[in-house]
Amino acid sequence: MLPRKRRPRLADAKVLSRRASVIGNSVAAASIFKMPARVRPTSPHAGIYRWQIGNTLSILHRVTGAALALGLIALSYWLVSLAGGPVSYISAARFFEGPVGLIVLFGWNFAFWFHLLNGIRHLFWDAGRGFERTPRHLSGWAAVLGAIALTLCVAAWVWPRLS
Amino acid sequence: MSRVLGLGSAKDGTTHWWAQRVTAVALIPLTLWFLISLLTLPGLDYETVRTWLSVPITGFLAVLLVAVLTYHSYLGTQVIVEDYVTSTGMKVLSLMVLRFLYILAGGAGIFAILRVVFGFARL
Repeated sequence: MLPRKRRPRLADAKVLSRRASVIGNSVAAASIFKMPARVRPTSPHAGIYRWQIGNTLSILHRVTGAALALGLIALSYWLVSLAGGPVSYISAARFFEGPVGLIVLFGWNFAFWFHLLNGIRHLFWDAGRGFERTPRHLSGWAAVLGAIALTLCVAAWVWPRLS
Repeated sequence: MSRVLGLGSAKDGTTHWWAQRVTAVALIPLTLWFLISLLTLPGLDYETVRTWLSVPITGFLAVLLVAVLTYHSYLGTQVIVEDYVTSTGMKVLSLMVLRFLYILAGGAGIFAILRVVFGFARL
């Protein structure tokens, strides 16, 4: 004789459903209700997500932030070399003025301007402004184009001054 | 209880989020001041940069810049680690290493500025 399955009672369902919602996992939720575990789509996944300016700039904000974190190490290295005296400073300056150093500095140049402009965009959102489609897209493009323009301005300023 | 205290599952409420915004706002003038100052110096040779940085107000602002920059950058990198490092052990370890690295980078930078400001006064 097969053991009779106990039907879930209302009280059980309440407790379990709260647990399921806390877990926030469709598989766990299904197992609680003795349903076949099926992986359901939980959020727009990278594979089906249409690329647009919003998510592109969001990713770029994080990438430039990570790049600038490395820039902080370079800044510290430069300051330490300055404190160390002329010999250590010249060796640091030689690196930054070399081809590799200049390319990296150009990258940080863009990363800085983009992170700054897009960061200001984020601050406006935090203040509850600029959420509508048009200002959101316009400010996004302004951040990208502004960052490119300012990067080129700095590069154009520095380039003739390189010895 | 956590609801009463207004804290989320991370147990720090809005502290992290708010600190990130405050440092972001502070960094707008600080970074622009630093960049424009360096770009408008007559040159970036040792003597010029040292003379510039050893002025007390320059040194003070540079210390502020490195301190706030380190804090802001740490907050951001911490979120990246928390997002992508999934196993608890690795997460704790990498957050610890990250914190050490940031204190090292920030501390070295600030110490270097102080050396320039105070060290050369006696020469």
